[in-house]
Amino acid sequence: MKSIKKIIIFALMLAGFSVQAQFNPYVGTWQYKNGNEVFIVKLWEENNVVLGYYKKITVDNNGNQTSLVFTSRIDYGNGDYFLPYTIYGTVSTDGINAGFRDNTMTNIDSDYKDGKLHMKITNFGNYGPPGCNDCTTATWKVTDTGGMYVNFVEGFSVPTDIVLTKLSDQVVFD
Amino acid sequence: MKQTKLLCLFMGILLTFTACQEDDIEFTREKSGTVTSRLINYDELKAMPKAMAKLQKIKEEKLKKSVYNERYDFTVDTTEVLLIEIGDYHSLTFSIIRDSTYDDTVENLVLNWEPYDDYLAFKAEYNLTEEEKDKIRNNEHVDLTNKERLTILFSFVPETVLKFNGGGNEEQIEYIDGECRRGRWVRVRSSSSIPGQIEYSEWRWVYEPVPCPEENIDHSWTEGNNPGGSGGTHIPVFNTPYPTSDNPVGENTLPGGGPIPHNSIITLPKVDTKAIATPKECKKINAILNITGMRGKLTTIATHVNDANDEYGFATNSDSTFTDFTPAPEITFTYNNTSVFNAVSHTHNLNKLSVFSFSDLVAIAKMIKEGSINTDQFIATLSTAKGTHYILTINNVNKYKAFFYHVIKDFGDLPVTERTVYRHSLKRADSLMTKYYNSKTGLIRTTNNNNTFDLFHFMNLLKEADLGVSMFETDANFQSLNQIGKLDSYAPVKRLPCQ
Repeated sequence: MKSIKKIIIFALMLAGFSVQAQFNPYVGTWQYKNGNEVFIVKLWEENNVVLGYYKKITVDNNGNQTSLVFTSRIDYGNGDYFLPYTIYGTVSTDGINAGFRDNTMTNIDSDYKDGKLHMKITNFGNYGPPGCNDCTTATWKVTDTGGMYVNFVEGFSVPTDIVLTKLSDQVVFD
Repeated sequence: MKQTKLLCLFMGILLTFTACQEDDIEFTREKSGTVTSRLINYDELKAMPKAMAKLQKIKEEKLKKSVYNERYDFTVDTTEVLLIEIGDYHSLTFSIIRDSTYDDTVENLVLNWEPYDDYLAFKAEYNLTEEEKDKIRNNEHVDLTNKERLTILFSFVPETVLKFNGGGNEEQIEYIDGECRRGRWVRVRSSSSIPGQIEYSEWRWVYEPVPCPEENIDHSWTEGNNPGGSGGTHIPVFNTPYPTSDNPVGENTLPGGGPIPHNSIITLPKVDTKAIATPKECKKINAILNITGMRGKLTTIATHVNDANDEYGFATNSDSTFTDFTPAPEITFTYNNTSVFNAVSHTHNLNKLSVFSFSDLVAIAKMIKEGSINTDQFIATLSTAKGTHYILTINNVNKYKAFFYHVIKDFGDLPVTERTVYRHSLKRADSLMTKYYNSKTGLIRTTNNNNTFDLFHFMNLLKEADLGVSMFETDANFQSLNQIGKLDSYAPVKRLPCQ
């Protein structure tokens, strides 16, 4: 009987480890606050690919939203969202390297401007993902894709070099 | 019970044996007379308006997206056509050219003259070794038994699908006169009446008796619910949503009008002189490279590939003049609504890819969207610091547009029904971009130092994306020209010279 209990405990430990191993520390809701403006990034995972949306809002002194500056999750009505995601990439020990789509720019003649996103948790310690020492801050860098450009417009509407703070491991769309 | 089973088995074997002894049903008309064959050129072909009309129809079928089929995804070489004549019958045999000309299969388009004064189109395939191809080139005898296959090329109208089960290919089984029969083109004759000439093949449409496949027996119709019956009952083989016909295939009317039986098909393999690159794309490239000053400009920008900061590039206008791009870390092109380019050339300097980047491919899609390139003539060239020199052509702009649908189209302008297509296109492109170009996990990376490895995966990308482009390798002076291709994702790249 004792040995059965040991086996069950061992199996549970293994199961716990398995869940731990599958945990992606990038998944969740991140933010960057600058004055009364808050840039929010929401990342989730599908089939080992990290997908995401982002938005910018303004808040009052109590942190309550006062306006929506822009969102990449554009609703065309009845839940018909423009793009299924605006961040698409993979996670490695170098963090997230992803395609980034800025569909919130108003000065371009196409649906969006492509870019590259590199996001990396700042303090992984000696572990590497998923065992970060501090999974709550990450660098966020958006750059141009490289390659030939047609009707190129400088810059992006989003911050291009910041440090994000994790708000939650959850993603809630609003 | 055991006895009943044994009896059934015996009856089954007996029926099969009996069926095998029955004659095949042929739906073809025999021809008699002396066979003559000769090569004719395009000018002679033009004097045959019905043949030209048939070729045009095949071309149109190829362009119909809704009925897109791999069978029609080929180019027909009309520069040299094999004409075979017997009495008032004749056939025209053309070489078929595909992107993957490295396949051992020899493909021919055969236009067969029919009794109702029009052509039917067939695709003849021959699985030949290089040695056998050489023999045919030298007019030597090659036994084609079990090396040939003939399929019919029809319009993809529902009636045709019904009557010919997707084009009259092999493995078609019909229930005719109480028997299951498989219709297929059978090579019934293999001889040449001209001494020393290679043998030709005569094909006839034949229904051979075959055991009925299990799925065509409706076991619900047994003695229990079908008094007087015994065992399963055969149900119609073609359970299509289209109206069905009670007549056997051979008695139906063909889409082009006129009844079967029709002429048997007489053709012989037309093997290209030797494996060469796609002539049309080679011609396209040479037309641009031969513009006065073009090679000079290409070699000049190629000397800047080791620039620490900037890429170099220029466009070749449709009037054969040039527009230089400002050297910059990334080449930038702004469309001014007036220029139409036949070529865009650029470099990848230090620490860049040895092949075209995904953004380069997107940029070409944007140029197509803007109408700033002549897609029929367009070439894109690339010289890199890693010592590679490539040229890319668009052989099928519809495929390019389909892959980059999300770039070519504006989401807001699309009807709701097309938005799914847009999203699907975007997801597919993102998936391939990540697989091949992700800076850390992708197969093609700036940190790679193996150009062959990069080219291998770039060709796989083109194939997987079905982008409708052809890739060529050249030298620093843009003198040599070899088409690059792969048979499949595991095969090494092959180089075929332009003639």
